[in-house]
Amino acid sequence: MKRFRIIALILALLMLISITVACSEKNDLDNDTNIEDINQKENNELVENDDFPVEVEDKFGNKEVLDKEPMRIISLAPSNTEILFALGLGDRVVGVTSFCDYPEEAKSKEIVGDYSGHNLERIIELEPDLVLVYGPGDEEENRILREAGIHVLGFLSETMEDIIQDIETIGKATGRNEEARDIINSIREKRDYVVEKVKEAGEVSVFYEIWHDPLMGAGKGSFMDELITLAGGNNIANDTDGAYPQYDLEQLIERDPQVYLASKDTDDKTIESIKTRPGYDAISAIKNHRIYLFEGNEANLVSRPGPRIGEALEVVAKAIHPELFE
Amino acid sequence: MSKVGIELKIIKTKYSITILILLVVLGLSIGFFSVIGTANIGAIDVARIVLSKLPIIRNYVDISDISDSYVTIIWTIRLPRVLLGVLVGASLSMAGAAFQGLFKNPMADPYVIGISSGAAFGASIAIVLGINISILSISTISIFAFIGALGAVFLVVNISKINYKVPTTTLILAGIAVSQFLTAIISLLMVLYSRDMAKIVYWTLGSLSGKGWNPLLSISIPVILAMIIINFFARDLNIMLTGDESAQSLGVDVEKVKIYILILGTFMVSMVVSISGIIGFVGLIIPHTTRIFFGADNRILLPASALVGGIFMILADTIARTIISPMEIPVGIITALFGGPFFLYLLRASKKVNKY
Repeated sequence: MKRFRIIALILALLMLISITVACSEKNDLDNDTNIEDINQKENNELVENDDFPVEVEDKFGNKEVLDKEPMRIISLAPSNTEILFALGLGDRVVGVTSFCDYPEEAKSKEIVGDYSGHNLERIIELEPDLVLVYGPGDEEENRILREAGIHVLGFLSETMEDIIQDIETIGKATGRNEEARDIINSIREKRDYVVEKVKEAGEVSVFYEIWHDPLMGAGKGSFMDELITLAGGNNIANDTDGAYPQYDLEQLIERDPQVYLASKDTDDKTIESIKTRPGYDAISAIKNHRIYLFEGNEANLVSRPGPRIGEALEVVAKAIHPELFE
Repeated sequence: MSKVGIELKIIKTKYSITILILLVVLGLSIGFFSVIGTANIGAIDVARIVLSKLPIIRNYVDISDISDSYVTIIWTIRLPRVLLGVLVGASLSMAGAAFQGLFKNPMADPYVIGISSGAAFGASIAIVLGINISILSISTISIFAFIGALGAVFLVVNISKINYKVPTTTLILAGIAVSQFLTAIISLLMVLYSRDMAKIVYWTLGSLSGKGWNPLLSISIPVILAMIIINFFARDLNIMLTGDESAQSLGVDVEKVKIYILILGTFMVSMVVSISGIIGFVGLIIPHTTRIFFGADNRILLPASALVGGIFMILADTIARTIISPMEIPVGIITALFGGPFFLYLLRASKKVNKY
């Protein structure tokens, strides 16, 4: 019996300690936020933006009311990072993912996430006003962030118009409406320029390889499908159900694309290695040396629904109709 | 001739007939599934294309009216894919049957002693290191997968060895432990080298698509040899089902037979897995299904499993590549979707399944 009493006493003590610690932590937090509030007030006086408070909504139904201009922003997707930098908010970005490699300055920002997840503790510790998540984000993570008083918006677009809307929304949320409009205009200009350029050219059949083993293509509803179509190409894989389906090699050969596009996602993927794959010698694109391998910056361009989508379209159009851009 | 002698002879003849029938069915299946495909090519054209590629006969077949892309589809894509399917299905099933008998455990399949995780580990190392030396036109990933599989099994067998014996329970436990450990390392590699994650994930998914002739040709002879050799141990396996000790007293060198079967089974499975990636379920359900139809005698079970496995694999792969054309379904999904319910039905319909 005596032993039980001792254990009970220890447990009670432990509980007491944990409660005290928890309370004091909360106090610390309150103090921090107070300092933060003061900081923000100062910042607000500097900026004097009368667009705020503003209500914004992303495509996943997240409504956020931002009382003041966000001064500390975390981006959890490379496309969001690019949009933020393009809006001239590079200085306010305090956290990015390991994939955020454009522009160059993004690489010097603190990494708070990679493919396996986000360091939620660090994100909250950085005290951002706004976090831009990839796609709808993780429901539980979003909830925790909101409870910590952080605004959360999600972006992942597969069409040009949606990307334009995303840029508009992010511009609105950050008080950069003017800059957002400029980016959108330049995207539209670029698009019109390319569409005008390829208008007279004949349609060219195209296949875009997402992965090679097993073969996967960019299907209907994918970002690349739209780029190919706008660039005057006919995506042979656009009758699939999914955006990125595993694709039948026999169909690839039977449909015989005139241009074969791929991104250099592994070191050993080269134009030569594509040419030597079994059966590929029967495809027109391979016979006529019309394989185009997007490398480095180009590969990022064509895979990111970001502010450089206009350039991405031009890159794809040049690959499909090189003669028009000489 | 004594009565027993005559009975034995009848059984042997029966087995020969069964194998012959299965061989014919396999041959017909290869022909049938080679004709089925999303590209609209008739059976006669398929036959003409194949004949035109064979020595001597090719002089008498004119295929100039068939488009080049059809010739490529049939000869470079579909036929090697179907034949690779036969080899993969046969190896997995035969090794599964042998391991189930060896371990006296109906849950044993070729992957239980660490082949799959070893192969995946080897493949991951090759992918992460980005090494690119191909030997006999087999890719580095395949070679590493093969080495990884052999290494894992060697490790498992050595860990479980007690006084020069390999008790079944320790073998399976060691297999599971080593598998888990290697899987953890693979996960760690994927975290550290997230750039290569997609490649590792897709490799472990398994696929028969787009491999061509070269890898098939370079593995087929050693794999078929291993399949033939493993049959010589069928009688010993039968005796070992009565228990290791009584088998020993009947003159079977139990420990040696165990090691030989392990090596042969591992060899054939790691060979095919190194080309196709990991395709689950086949090595587990085909031996059981075969046992329900043809009995538990390893002399018929081993070869029949191989043949049934080959037929099943190309059936599953044909469905995978045609059902939602132009898209493909990973073949492992088909083998599980299709094989699972069928296997459960057989389990219910037959009580024989407990006699492994």
